[in-house]
Amino acid sequence: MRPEATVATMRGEATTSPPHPVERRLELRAFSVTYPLFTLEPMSLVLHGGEAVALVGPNGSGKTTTLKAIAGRLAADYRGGIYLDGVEVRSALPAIRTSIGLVPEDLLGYRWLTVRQHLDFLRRFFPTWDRDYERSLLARLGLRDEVKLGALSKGMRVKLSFVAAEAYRPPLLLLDEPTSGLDPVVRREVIEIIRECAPPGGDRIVLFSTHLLEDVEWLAERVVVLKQGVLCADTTLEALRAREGSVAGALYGLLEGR
Amino acid sequence: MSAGHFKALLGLELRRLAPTVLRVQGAALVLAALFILLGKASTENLLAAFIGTPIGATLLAPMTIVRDKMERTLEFLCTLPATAGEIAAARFAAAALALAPGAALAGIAVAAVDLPTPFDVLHGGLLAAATVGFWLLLSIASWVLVAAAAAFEFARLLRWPLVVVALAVILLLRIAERVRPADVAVALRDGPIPPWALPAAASVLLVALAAAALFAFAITRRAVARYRPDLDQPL
Repeated sequence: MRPEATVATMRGEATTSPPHPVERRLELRAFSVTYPLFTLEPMSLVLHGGEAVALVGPNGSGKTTTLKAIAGRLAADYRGGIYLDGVEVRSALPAIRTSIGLVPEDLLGYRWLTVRQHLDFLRRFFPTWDRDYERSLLARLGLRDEVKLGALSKGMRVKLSFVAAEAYRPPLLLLDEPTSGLDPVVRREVIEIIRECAPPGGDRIVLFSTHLLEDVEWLAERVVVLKQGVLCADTTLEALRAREGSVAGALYGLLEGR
Repeated sequence: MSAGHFKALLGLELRRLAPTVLRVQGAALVLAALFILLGKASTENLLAAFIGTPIGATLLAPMTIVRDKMERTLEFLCTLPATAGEIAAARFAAAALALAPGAALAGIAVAAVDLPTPFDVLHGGLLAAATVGFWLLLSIASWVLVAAAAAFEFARLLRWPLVVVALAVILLLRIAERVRPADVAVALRDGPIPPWALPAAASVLLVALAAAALFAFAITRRAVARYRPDLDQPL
């Protein structure tokens, strides 16, 4: 189920989406961050279960900041609130991290641990961790247990990050440029497995940032555009296609202010 | 505090510290063997090897914090659904466990050599108590250093905190001079010592050490909870 198109420039106004059959809900209420050289303007957004949403924007537009804040991993303090199923993320840390999976831009972990040791360590923190599912993901992505994290290639690190974030099937899955820097084959593999793990219409929310407009078409139904710290559009692929004939053309238009 | 989280974090720390602890203690044994082979196995040399090594090993746990900050692995730990208290407690437990083999070897070495009078009083139960006390002191020293490493950046640690540590060492040496270990040993051997004196002294010492340990733990937990890797600011 896709939300209705709502293209808008917003500063603290709630995004309206149609009611969704699943109650899962991620809500940003006037969320904003101020750094010495950058400000992410107040942003309000509601995401529902079953939605796959792309966060698009140029470098430094605030995509990673937003994802980290939602995951409860932002170093800086922020204003406003982020709510997952009505629970304020910041006040529910660290326990709420068991409900959120984040695939960061780069794998975090001990280089001297093997893939198996890394996952076994993580497993002890997530009660819903499914070992069979984890093993099937590893096999599917071609990751070997005995390889040390320090010896993994960029593509393998992304894959392992994905397994670590997905093995406990978090209701909210966040991916920070998951396909950036990957070769086309690995990129396709990663995209396909993300689609399989969180199919449209399920009860999970998938929010991913990307520079790659192809990824938007493959993975998302809804697109949120950030530009220089301002949420400048929240729309659907259908609305983008209707606007300029192609998703890429419409997104370029939005980013260029057309 | 979750026992499962604590055990996972402790296991990780021990996995990391164990090879270094083995190497350090192995080096003490090799040094002692060299002293014996070269005919220089005096009491002083052997004790220097076996008591000096665990003193040096107090730096191992603090250095893991420094390394964690440099390699972003403290950031990794802070992304887990674990509390700062669990992370700090695991560090402290790992530091104490890593120092246990060194303290035990030191106790064995003291038992094996001929101590000069009046230190020959150290045997049996008193030696066991002294070994445990030595391990406790080492652990608390390591915990204080862990707290310093958690609270300060390594570069800043080399400035005024280093001066504070140097002053503390000088103060402790002065106190040790006043107390005169030889006099304590003579008193233990010859008396007269009132029956309450040893338990009272031990209690005061334990309270002081517990206060130091709790303070170090509070500092470490706070530093982990407030840890802010300076990484998420957009360029």
